[in-house]
Amino acid sequence: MADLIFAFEEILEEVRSLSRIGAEFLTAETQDIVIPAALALLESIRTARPQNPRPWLVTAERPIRTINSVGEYEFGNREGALTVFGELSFIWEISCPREAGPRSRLQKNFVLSGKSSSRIRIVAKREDEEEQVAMWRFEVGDAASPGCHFHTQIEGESLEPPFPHSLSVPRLPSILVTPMAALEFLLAELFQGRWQRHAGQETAEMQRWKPIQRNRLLKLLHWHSQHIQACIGSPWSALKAQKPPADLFARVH
Amino acid sequence: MGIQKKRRLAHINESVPRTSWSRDTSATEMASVRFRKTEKLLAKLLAIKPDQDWASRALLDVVRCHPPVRELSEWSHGMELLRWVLQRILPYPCFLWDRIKVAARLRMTVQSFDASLDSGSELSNHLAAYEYTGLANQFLGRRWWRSGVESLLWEITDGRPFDLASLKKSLAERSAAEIEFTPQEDPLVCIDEEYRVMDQFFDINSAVRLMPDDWPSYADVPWTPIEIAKANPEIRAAVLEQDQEKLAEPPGEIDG
Repeated sequence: MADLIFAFEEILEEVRSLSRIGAEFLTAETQDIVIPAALALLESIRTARPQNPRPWLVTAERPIRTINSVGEYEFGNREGALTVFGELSFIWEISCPREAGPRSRLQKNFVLSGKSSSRIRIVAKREDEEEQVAMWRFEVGDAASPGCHFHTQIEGESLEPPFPHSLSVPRLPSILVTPMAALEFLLAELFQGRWQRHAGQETAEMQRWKPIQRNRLLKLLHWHSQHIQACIGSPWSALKAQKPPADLFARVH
Repeated sequence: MGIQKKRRLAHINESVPRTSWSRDTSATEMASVRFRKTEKLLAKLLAIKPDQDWASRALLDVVRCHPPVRELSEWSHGMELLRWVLQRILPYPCFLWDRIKVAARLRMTVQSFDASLDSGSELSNHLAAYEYTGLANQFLGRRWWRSGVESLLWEITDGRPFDLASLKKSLAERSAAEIEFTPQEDPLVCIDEEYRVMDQFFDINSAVRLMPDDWPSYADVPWTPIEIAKANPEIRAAVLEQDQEKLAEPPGEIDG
């Protein structure tokens, strides 16, 4: 297994399109400061073409933040008791492989060659107080990680149970890989009915977002399906142990 | 339009190299070859230096702003490009930034940025490499390539262009005079009631976003101070729906 390859343009495009699709669910600061900075940072990495891993990140101090969800995390006629908002911060350590062609040509791909973690927090608002009520991380493993390769971890930052820092399990299987996929998940959780209606519309931005997500999910599920069909012994154990090929998401089928 | 501007416009018009607009009528020529030729011509007219690392990023930024590339293949209509630069690019913050936008990105006050440019410091020498020198440059004042400035910041901050401490430290090391940094962590460039860019910055709590008619979708969203939006019904009407609640008077101020 080598480091996963991603196309710069695809990742940039998913940030641009989701920031527009999700505009009404994101704060002004997120839309006009945090997301443009994340885009500019990734573009700068693309221009600088570092051979050693560099962080592409949105920090926990200045996260991507949703507007308040007043009980909208429940679906249908039910209304949740809490007013909450969500935050996404992430770090992807990436580097640029040497590519053939003139240097004037834009770098096409990068490899995810270090830390990869998208951290989501849900914060409850009570009058003037804010309290974290949930936190989990979507992560991509490395060659040495025990699996499953694409996984979610809960909490794990505090010394106290449940899920203290000293306990590195469970690694729950996940099909969400990129920070923007994590953001869509968060929006869909916090604004159940409204996001479902919103995401069902065939807007120009959705036409850009949809093929990227569809292709990535299909490639991931196809890879899972292949390994389950070919396994000896427990399908889950086989899947847990599998490491994806470097070009899993870059491959043209 | 003032006589000076008319003269400059006439000069720019004369300088558009019409002989370069050869009509490409060959039916057999590949569309991709034509596209590359058009891009090359676009880069030449906008003076994007191909030897710069950030040149391809700059060109991509340009293409995202819908240049009239179809017209570039017609011999007579480099004028379309000139019109596009004058009317759709220079007045808006997109791939070219004016001195106020650059100052905001560097987290410097406009006065400090101006002084830094005049001082011949290392910083002003660095920035000179990213100044726009293409078609109609100087027509609305100096402009810098956004991708060039970002590339410079990446370089001088050792890959941490959005880390405020690294940014300030690297800028201070390269400036002859002491830099006055903005009090705002994220200074917003705002426009006033006449849609003129203000040289005073605001923070996100004291400004609202606007959606004026005819503002290009590829340009950064414009902001205006809350006080200006409150005082001008026309501006108030252009405030983005999501920011309207910022204009509501606090309950205590309502009479009765």
